Amino acid sequence: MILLWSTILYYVPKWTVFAQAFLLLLIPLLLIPMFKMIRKSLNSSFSLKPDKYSPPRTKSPLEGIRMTGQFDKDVKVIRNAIGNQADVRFREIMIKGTKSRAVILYVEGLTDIDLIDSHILRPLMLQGVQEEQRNSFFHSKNIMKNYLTEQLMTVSELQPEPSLKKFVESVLFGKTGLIVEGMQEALIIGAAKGKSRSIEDPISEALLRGPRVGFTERLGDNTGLLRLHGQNESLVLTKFEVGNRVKKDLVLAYMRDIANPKLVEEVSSRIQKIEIDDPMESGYIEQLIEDNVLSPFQQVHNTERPDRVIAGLLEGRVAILLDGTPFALILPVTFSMLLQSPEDYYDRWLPGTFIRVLRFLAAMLALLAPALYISFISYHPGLIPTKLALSITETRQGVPFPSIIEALIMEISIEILREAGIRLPKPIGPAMGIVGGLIIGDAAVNAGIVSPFLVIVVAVTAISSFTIPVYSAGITLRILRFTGMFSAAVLGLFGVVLFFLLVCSHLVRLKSFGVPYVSPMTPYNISEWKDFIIRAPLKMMKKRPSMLKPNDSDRRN
Amino acid sequence: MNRLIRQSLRIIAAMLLVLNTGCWSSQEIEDLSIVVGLGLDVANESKFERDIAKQGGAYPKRNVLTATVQIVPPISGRGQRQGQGQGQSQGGSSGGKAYLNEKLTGDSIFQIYRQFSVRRDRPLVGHHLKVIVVASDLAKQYSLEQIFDFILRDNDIRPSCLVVVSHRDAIEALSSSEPGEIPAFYLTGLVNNRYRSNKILPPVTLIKLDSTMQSGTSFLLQNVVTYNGEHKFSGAAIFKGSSKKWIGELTQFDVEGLSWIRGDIHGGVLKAYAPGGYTVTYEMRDSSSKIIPKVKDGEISFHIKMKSEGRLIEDWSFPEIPSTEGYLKEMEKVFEKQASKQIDQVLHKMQHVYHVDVGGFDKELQIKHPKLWKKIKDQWDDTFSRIPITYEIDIKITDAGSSTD
Repeated sequence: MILLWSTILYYVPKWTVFAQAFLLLLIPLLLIPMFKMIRKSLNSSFSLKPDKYSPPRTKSPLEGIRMTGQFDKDVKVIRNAIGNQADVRFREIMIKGTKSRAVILYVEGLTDIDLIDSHILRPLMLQGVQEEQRNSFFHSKNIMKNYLTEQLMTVSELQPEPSLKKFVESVLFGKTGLIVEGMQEALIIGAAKGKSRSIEDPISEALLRGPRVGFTERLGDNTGLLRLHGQNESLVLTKFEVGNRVKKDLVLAYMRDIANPKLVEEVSSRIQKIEIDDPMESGYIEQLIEDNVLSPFQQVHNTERPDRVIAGLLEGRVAILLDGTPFALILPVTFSMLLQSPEDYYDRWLPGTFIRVLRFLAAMLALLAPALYISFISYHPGLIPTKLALSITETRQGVPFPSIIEALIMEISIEILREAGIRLPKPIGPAMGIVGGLIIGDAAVNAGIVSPFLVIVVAVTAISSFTIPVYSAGITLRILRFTGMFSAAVLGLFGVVLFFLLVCSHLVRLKSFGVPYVSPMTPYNISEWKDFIIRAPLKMMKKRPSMLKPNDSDRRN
Repeated sequence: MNRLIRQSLRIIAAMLLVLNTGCWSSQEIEDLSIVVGLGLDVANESKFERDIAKQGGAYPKRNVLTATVQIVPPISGRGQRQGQGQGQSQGGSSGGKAYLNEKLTGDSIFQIYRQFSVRRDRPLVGHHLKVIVVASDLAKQYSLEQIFDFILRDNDIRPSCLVVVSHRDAIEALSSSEPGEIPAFYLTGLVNNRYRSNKILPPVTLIKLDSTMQSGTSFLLQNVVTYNGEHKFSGAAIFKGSSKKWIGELTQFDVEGLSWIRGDIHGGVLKAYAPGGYTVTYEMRDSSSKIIPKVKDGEISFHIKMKSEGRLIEDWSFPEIPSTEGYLKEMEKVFEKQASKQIDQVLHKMQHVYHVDVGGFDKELQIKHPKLWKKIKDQWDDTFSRIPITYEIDIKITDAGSSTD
């Protein structure tokens, strides 16, 4: 009996083991509420709750005021409301054949002057009201309006507006306003015609093969590009207005019979909850509607390419286009999308697959290469082939820093170079690349600050990170790379493994609008691997991705 | 805001917990001495050690063996190297040598290993150990089990490390007069030439050595002969299975004979003299052998069937005899006779000179007659010396090369 107990006690570990086990349990349990708190404080500082924002302080003096029909009074009110705006023009005229005065309001630079001249001024001042109509004007105010809109003004976009406030807003937005003496409604004519650029090849997502079309800053052009893509009845473009002070149009695009209605509903409810003075760019929208603010991974995909948007819509995704930016948002996003390029589909499947596999490899390199270098050099000399170990030892002889410092120096300077290269004007950019890449790299080696082997590693890493077709995903990997380097410096290869597991576990938990981020991988779906690391022949891909729960899963329809 | 500061302080504290312990086993690769070769000799204290001992720098030990470690790359002229700029690979700075041999004497290999730490700033790491050279004199005195005990226990040293025996001092085998040459790499590289010569034994790695020693059979290790910093693989050292001590050597000629018996020729040369007295040479491309143990009324005998294919690669007949089929048949006989000579000699050495079985006969018997093997395995080497062995050899010349006549 005593023997039994002593044997059992022999196998009971010492208290230190229990303490470690307790810590192992405690630390994650503490981490979870900590991150919850951080997330909560982040969200509460920028609440999405509609009742918590404060509406614009100053009220418009025109609030609730309607047109009276008394010409002088109305014009005076409007002049006061608009105030001292340098670019608003008032053009007073007399309508021919009547004694009615009229005033045309427009904003210089925004309005189509030709339209005003030939379709408003000419008919009003030259043609005017015919003799036989003149008498009937005194019977009803509406006859005047009807006559003007139905017989005189040769413009398509014409809208009567009784509210002064809305009238002034429209005029300031670039439409032409017409107030006629005696009429209780003002007329808003035409559309704003600001300057916009022509459609160009998208700079951030250039392709060798594929349409050379990118979005522009005008929402109308962009939605037009989507319509222009092909005849398609199910494309729905729903308009929203976002921004509390500066109002902007936002279009939610989806395929009526493909997109999951729940997804559309969720996205539109999140859009309606946006509370911000001015959504400057679609990046604002992205950040205000994303699921996880703390994640380094983007949960909304941005693109300049209409073909990419259409491809997303056909998979059952939803797109958001904002006025004033060429970047459309596609959501929900899955990890595989970040490493895919439309070209994968335009090329035949073998080259497409090869390039895609290459990109996955490059992504791994971009994430882990410097970390592996550090762990091999500092912790595991035995894992390097002997002759390589010898040459590394020889080349590292004069290097005064441990490998982490050495790698940090080079990585940070590469990042600085990259950032500087973007900011520089085009003719200087390549020259700076040469100065930075070649001269600094070579000089650093000659000066003995870094080893030539590291220069190779850093160069390969940098080039690999540029192969990632989505620019913002490349930045994510760059940030994570530094974390990987630190974990390699602290724990060696073991640290790299832990770091990779941490990233994996985060990715597995992450969701973008209810769709698991690493979707074809977990939840596991073997048939969707046809379009994940490899790109199967088009004839094999008969189904739309099931993770999006599309209404119509047959891709051939 | 206050809460945010408190939270970030908490995170920083948690990070410090990890980072403060940081990098505790980190050791940059250039701060390590990569050991690629290890030589084990009979104790022979160097002048340095004797002088140090006079200054009172000795520690209690018996002088049993001298261990030589080969360190690459030699880092002696650090400042000099800096001045030179690049061009390092051309054999370092100390007299054109690409390596550094360091030797210390003692009676525990591990203690000697650690003794290097008080001598050199860069500690030794054994991950890249490629070759261990044991001097035959040391292996005569001590069993390989004793000598290799630490090496087999150590978990830095890879089991793929090659083991060879040097006829003279191991340190000689680990020295080279050729500038830029690293002897440890040179020795491991030689093993790869087995496809060119059947004078080279199959490589014995640490893991193989360990298993062979535990199985208790006698075995061979590749022998290295040296002269003045140049080396050659020649013959094999024989180790008795019971004691694991060096008992003798086989010559190159014997090793060739043994390769016929073992049937593991990947390529090699068989030279003979034709009846006309001129030289003819046969290049084997393929060979196989089959050892057939026969037991009749408790009497064991072996029969070896050997086959080889190859080509007539050199013929000094003058005026040249055309390589007709009949001529080739005749030559086959000549080569078979020459091979028989080699086989006879090695069989004689195994059975009557050293009384060991290193030809793999034991394994065949064990497989075919396991019950009998159990009875005789303890005195197998003695039994083996009395067993009659017959053989037949069949050499086939498939072609006469690209010669047209």
